[in-house]
Amino acid sequence: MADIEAFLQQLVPAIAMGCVYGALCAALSLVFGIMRVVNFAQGEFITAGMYFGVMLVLFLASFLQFNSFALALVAAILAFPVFFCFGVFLHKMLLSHVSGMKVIETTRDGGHQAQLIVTLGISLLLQNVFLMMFGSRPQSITSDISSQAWALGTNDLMIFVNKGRVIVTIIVVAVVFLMYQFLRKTDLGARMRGAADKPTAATYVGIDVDRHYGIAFGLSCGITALVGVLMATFYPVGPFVGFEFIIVLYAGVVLGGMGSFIGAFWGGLTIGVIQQMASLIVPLQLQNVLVFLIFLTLLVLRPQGFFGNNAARL
Amino acid sequence: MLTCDNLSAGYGGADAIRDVSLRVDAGDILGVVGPNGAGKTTLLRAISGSLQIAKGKVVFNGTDITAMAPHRRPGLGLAHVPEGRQVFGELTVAENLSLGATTLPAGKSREERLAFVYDLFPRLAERRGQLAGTMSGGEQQMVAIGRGLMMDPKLLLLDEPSMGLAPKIVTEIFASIVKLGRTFGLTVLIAEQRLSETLASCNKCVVIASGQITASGEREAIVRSGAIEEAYFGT
Repeated sequence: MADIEAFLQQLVPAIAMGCVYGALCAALSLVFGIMRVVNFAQGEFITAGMYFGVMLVLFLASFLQFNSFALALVAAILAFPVFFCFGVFLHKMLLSHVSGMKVIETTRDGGHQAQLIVTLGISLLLQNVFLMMFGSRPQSITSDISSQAWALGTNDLMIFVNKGRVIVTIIVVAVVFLMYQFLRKTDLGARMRGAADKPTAATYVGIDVDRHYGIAFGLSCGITALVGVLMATFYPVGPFVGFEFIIVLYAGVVLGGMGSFIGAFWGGLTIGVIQQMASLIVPLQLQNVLVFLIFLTLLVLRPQGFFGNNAARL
Repeated sequence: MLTCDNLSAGYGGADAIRDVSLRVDAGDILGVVGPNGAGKTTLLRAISGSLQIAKGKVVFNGTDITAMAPHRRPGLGLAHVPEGRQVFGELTVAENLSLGATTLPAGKSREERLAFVYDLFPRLAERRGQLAGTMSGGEQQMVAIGRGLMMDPKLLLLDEPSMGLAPKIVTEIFASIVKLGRTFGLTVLIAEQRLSETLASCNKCVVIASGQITASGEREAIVRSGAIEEAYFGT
């Protein structure tokens, strides 16, 4: 019984973390799947969102007598539009020059080399801006809710579930669900999927492909920052924290089937759960080794990922 | 309706078409015929704007569209059904058609256009929920043409609608093109290397070879002139 209890006690926060990874992967797949851009700066957007949360909660707490967890939720809601605009701006200023219609027709590699340099540049720049502005000391949003737990079960089998993590999990899953419905059900979502699928054909029906790529980039930024704010309630933020996540997140995107939004969520969830559960059998430092071992095994068995189709792209 | 003046365009500095001038009048079904690599696709892409023009002018219904962004041109009523169909493979048939109506003016009903397309291609109505990428080549061609028709175009540019299709399907596709032109009065420009169906459907004809127009005029005159044989066989 004690074994099962330990397993469940590990599984519940692992699923919570997996959902966060899933949401981050889904956001990443908006850029990767729609714009075909490998964005190395996505990790720094997470960091930016976390700092945004920490700073805004500090600021709001100086004159509002609210619980800091409630303030973090306010910060998360504000982060979405702020970072959406940031993303659209960044796309217009930098990424639109190395992606979209400009490169699809004229370059042989789809502009990937230039995109790599640009996003890596943004990543390095942001890391050092964070270091300059906030120093290297880890910070987080501390609140009573994120250190309280619900006890579930009976005396024989009891597990504790952190209240803050439950709320965060519900919100990130809701965000992914809403975004998925937006892509499936709205005209704008359909235009974005069309622009992703066949960019040139999309211009033939009157879709401004670059503008829709900008919106996709903005949405990706917005979701990432929103999730970042929520992560700051349980994960300390430092200037380089985003970089720890990015490689694992890409594994999630690939696992889900490249380009599939909801697939990326399931891929991220799988990766997150494996990573968190790994510490049951291997030392903490080796948890990513297990992640990639399982990742590679799954790719051998199903190279197209969970949700990818194995038909060739024409 | 459409005038091209001395168009030159190409890829990486090399012109694939040189000094091409042509005219499409309202109600025409114009066949642009020529062998593989003659520059038909380049010409169509220069008209719809997905390829930058090096020299020349394109005027559509009195508007100079030479420098207009390609995604604005469908709004004027210019529909391009590209070579190789290029349907949105990961979207359903209904979604493909609905995206075709992106530029449909507010006063016009999307449902009416949809009914028109489903009436022309009843098979699409049966398959409306299917992912377009999983359909046969002929069905995908119907989706591509249907998508172009959703915007209620004034001019339909068709690039190689017969490409990779079984002869029976080619006949079927051309029958619908003729129906669009003769029954519904739509102006159509077909670029094709397949001669028999194209010549049977068009009323005017332009022969293109090695990037230049070698003959143009009424279909009968072109057929009698021998320009087609010259373009294809170099005699």
